[in-house]
Amino acid sequence: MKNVKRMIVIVLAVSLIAFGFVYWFKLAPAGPLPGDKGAIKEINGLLNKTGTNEKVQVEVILDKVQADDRHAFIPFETDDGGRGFSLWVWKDHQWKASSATTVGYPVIWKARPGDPSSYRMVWSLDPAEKVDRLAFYLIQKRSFQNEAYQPRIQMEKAIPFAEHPYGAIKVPEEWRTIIRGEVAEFEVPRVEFGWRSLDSSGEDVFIEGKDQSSYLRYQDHQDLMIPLEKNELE
Amino acid sequence: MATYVNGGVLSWLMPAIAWGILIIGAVFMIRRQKNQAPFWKAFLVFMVGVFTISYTFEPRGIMVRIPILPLGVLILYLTLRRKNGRWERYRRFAWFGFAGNILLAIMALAAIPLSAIVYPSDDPATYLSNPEKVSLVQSHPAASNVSLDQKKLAEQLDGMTEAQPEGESWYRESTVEDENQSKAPERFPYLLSGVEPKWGSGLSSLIYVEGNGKGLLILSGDTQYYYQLSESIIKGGGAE
Repeated sequence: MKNVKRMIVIVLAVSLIAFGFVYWFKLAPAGPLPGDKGAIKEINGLLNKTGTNEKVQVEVILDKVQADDRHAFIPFETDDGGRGFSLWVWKDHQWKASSATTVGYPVIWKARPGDPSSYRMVWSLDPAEKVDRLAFYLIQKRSFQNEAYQPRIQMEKAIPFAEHPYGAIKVPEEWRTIIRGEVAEFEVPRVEFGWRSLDSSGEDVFIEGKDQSSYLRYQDHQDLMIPLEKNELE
Repeated sequence: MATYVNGGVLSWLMPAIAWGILIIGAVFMIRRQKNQAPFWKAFLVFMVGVFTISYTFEPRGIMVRIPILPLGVLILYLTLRRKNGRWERYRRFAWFGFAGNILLAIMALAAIPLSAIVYPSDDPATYLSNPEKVSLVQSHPAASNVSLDQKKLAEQLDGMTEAQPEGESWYRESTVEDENQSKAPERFPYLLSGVEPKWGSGLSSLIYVEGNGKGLLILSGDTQYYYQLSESIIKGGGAE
């Protein structure tokens, strides 16, 4: 009888501790984002892991955008005046940078893959670039296969560059209807994302950028945005 | 024409009905026997009897198992025969479990013709059940600033005429430039947004609207339907 009681107590204690661990590392609500100093240290650690000879140092944290309760976007400026951004995730009870880049060209960041309402277009470019606006596109190519015609989809969202040299904007509501049917990662995607940088007369501008290093620590889901030119659009 | 059972309500409802019939049948059978084997033992024997090695295939995304080797029955026979007369008492429940697989397979297969009846693949209402709730999205620069006339769409949904899609010429007119004519703008520059398919069909589709507002192109999976309307369903702006 004593043994049975002892067993019950042990089992209860073990399951309580196990639940405590699971709660703490997986379920607990996210804490506040790291301060500027802590963020800079973490990003520098990532950028200089890439094995490049030039050591890039982050100088200023430009902004902190919380995409949802477990994901954040933190753009920065480096000591040589370059721009870049880092993506953060709340994981194992701490904020960690899942990636950092000094390239800063727009990408699609899928905070929660499969849920288009969490997708954001993120970028961070040098405000000195002679760019008037950025244009983002959702494209589905026109095709005719197995007797079925697939119309071309071409939707545009323009962002004034002067106010937004960096940003993390949600994929527009109207685009989500079209993306929703997208399935597994390994299939050839039906739609693609593209972007252009334009001057005030509406001509394409090429963004040079500075020295470039980027590093991915663990998979956060990013999709390339294809650089487009005027003649590729209708 | 393909109907997608996959993901629809029928793909789990039919097996669920089959299981219901089986379990009720087993309970009746155990209740009505003469040599009272304990109820829970008999029921356990029935459940083990269901285990088989079977040939599995997936027509249209619904799982169908054709029973081949009565594995559960075999295991029961080997364990129960050691005591005299015991196997004979339980035999029927084990075989009933095995036979149940045939009912499961038949019901699963029946979901295919049934879904073709409940969700006719050439009826636009199968893909669009809420014409009064959808709106128009300009999915191509060739679109004008117009809105959807939901009433006109709802009125015509039943009476639309299916037409032959001219995919090849639509494709060519917008991509190929020859000497005597320039490229035509996209023929289907609008999409319907907020589309709900008929309840339980599990279908997802994209529904395009023709530039003149008098045609619907429905793309679902690898099937395509083209409907022509007598009255335009777009209003305002530069609609012709």
